Amino acid sequence: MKYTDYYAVLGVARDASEEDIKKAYRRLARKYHPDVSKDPQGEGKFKEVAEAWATLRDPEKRAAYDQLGVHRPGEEFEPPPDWGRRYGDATDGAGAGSGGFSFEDLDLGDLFADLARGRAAGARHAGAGRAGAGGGARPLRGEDYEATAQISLEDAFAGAIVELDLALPEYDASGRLVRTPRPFKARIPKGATEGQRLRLPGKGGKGWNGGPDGDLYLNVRLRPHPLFRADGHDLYLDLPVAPWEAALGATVEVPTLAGPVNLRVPPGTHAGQRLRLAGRGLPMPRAGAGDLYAIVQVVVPTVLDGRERQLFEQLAAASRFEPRSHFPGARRSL
Amino acid sequence: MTRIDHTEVLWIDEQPACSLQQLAEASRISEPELRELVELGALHPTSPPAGAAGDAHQPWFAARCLVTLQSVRRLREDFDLDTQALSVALALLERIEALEHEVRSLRARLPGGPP
Repeated sequence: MKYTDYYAVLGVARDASEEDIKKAYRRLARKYHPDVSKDPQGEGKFKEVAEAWATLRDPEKRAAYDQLGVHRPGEEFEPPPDWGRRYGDATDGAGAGSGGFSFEDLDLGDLFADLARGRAAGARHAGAGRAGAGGGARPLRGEDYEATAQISLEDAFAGAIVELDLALPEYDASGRLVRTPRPFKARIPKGATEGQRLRLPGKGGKGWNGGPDGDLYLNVRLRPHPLFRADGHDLYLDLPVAPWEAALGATVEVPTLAGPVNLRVPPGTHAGQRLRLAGRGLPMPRAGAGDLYAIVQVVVPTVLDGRERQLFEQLAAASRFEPRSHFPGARRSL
Repeated sequence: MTRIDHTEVLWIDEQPACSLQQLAEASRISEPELRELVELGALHPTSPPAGAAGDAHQPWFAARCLVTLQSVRRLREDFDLDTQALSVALALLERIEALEHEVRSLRARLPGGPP
């Protein structure tokens, strides 16, 4: 089992008072809590902080933790000999040391979370097993979990199956708490947008004592797309057009998530103008679809050959167009 | 070989989908606490779905409220907040979310904006 220095996580001394530990937790929780922090690493840091707090706030658990001694963070260590009996299989009975029980699949947080649930040794060691552990046989619903599913815009458009590879703390057949791989596939229906939440009933933590399993909540994030930007179910696309296409009008081919379509650029189109392609955005969950907006960008060739330069010069000489006529004292090009 | 489960998902959106009882069960927040959050304006009931059975005076909620209530549960457990403080925190979080949505929306409309 790897050692985690909970005191170091909270930035307090090992003999810190309960009040100091509480203050340290609150300061760090305010900084990293996923509901208030925008730090991309915040959620992971908060988990460490919350795990440390959950153990050190409870005098019984803090005493048990202190009993583990001091190790380097991440160092492999063996819990005290009697812990094997406390947490091990009841059939291990009088086993000296940790006997047949292994802590390898367990992390420190799981172990102390187990204590918190009142599932510790006494009842289990007495052979009461899982159903009889801690506080009788009251059914308890499993934990709810959250996960993020990153999908492409194409997946949001057509729907997708995402593979999730979670490792959830669960009790094995002998009642030991172990991290169990829970790979499964979830069908993301078409029409999900950035920040969409989805609920997977019964896919969270296992229930206890016959209680129902918890739920898994998926937070959908859209991967950046090289062409399209999403705003809800609407999509935005930059549409470069040549000056003559903008001035004279043109029919141009534009990409959509369903394949290319022709778009009419009206004569006199200006840069920044939005041309709407109705119903070409992302589908909505139950019916309909958002729109696709092509934002016109008038672009000019950066290098002109002789003929092009000549034609532009002719246009400049002949045109009466005054793009800055609204400026005070505006004059044509100097 | 590891078994891979397939599962279907439920939308959490603006559709009226949850009675008070269903919301309490899914969010693990008691019905009296939910009623208090409604009274404080932190939780907004919606019209019942067409054809919904049951007491006409029972409030219904959009499924999206589950997201709000998950925040409620986390904030309460992690910061020891009382219901009054929770309602203030939630109102501020909702304002931040609305502003972030507006920023994302404006960025999407900017020509040459980030993808």
